[in-house]
Amino acid sequence: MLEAIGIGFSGLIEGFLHLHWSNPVMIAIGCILLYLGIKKGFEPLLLVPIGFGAILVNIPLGGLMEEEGFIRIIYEAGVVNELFPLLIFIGIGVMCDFGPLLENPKIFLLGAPGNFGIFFTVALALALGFTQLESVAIGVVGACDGPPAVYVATRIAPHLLGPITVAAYSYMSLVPMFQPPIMRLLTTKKERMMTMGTVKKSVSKTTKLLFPLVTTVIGGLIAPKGLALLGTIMLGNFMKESGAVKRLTSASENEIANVVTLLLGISIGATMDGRIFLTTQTILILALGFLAMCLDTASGIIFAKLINLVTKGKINPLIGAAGISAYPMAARVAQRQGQRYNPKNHLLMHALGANTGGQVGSVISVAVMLSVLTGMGLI
Amino acid sequence: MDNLTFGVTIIVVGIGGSTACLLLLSLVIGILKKLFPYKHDEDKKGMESGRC
Repeated sequence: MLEAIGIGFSGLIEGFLHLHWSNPVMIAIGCILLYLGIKKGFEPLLLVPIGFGAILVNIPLGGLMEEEGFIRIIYEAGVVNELFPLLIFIGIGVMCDFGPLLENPKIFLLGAPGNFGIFFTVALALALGFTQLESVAIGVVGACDGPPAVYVATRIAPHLLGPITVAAYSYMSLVPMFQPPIMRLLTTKKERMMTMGTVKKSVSKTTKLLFPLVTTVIGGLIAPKGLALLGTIMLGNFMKESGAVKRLTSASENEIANVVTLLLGISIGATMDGRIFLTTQTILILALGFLAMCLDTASGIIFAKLINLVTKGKINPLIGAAGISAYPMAARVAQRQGQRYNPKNHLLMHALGANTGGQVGSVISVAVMLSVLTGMGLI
Repeated sequence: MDNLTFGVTIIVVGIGGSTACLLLLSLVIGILKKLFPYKHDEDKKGMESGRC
């Protein structure tokens, strides 16, 4: 009987006995993510479920990511088949206002260099010894957007999903911290003080309605492999601009986006098992992801300087930094930096145009890359 | 395909392809704006229908 009691008690310490050194480290990392989300306000909607998921999966013998585990079921149902990022993209499409972009189509071009970091980072990752598909998945962190990073990583490098997603979402929230020094480094005080005038309303409702449709068709024809991403964001925007399906737009940006964000976050967190996550590879991915976003910002500013030169002083180079996908944070950063050097400077609407251009640009860049991989026969 | 060729191809086609695509879209926006110009009474109509 005493033996049975002893065995019974030993069951209570099994969890401690199976604790690997990496588990407490990952639980601490999970707590840091929770702290960043709750106390610092960095993307709390994502970092809180990701952080909690990381803690859950690092408690031994819980079996949450095993075949019958509840997080594994969620993971299989929506992450492996790329469904969750696409559902979130519909909501993002609803939230996006392409109005400022349509007012000044030239600014659309800033969405391209704002994503050049993706391609340079692919080359760097290759040089560091990652495989070709892994390098592409890492480069997509430079899209400065979570859903494309999750979508591509799931498709071509699922074993790297954890670090790639953590990099994508945490760096996205760090945009207000890492962009200003790059902006100051690459622009002169005179450039930062430049005003761009007010944005005049010049876009009809028909144009706003046709834009998502035309973009879907043209973008889809050029890069069909990214049509799922492009199509979902444009569907969301089309529904909003049509004004005919308010219940669907409301559900997409609220209920659906909230539920899917929770499920996606907890599933991603659960991929952060310490035994798999704590490797040199993860540190390299986090470093490369950060570099990708810095390169995006730098190439956006340099390209905006070129346009400014060609248009003889009509574009403030600061808005080039907003040509990334982090919407609307990057636009706000450009506005704040402009006003810091010239209180009469109102760059927000122009920067929002570049920012939505960056949103579309990131999807197009990812789509182009997937189509190139298909062309090469790699996927 | 070796890594050098792959990297260069991704950079050239990626940057070229995405820039060309955005350029094309910005031209299309220009055409759409010409075909369907903004009318100042659009807002007014919107407000009226909103009131209903």
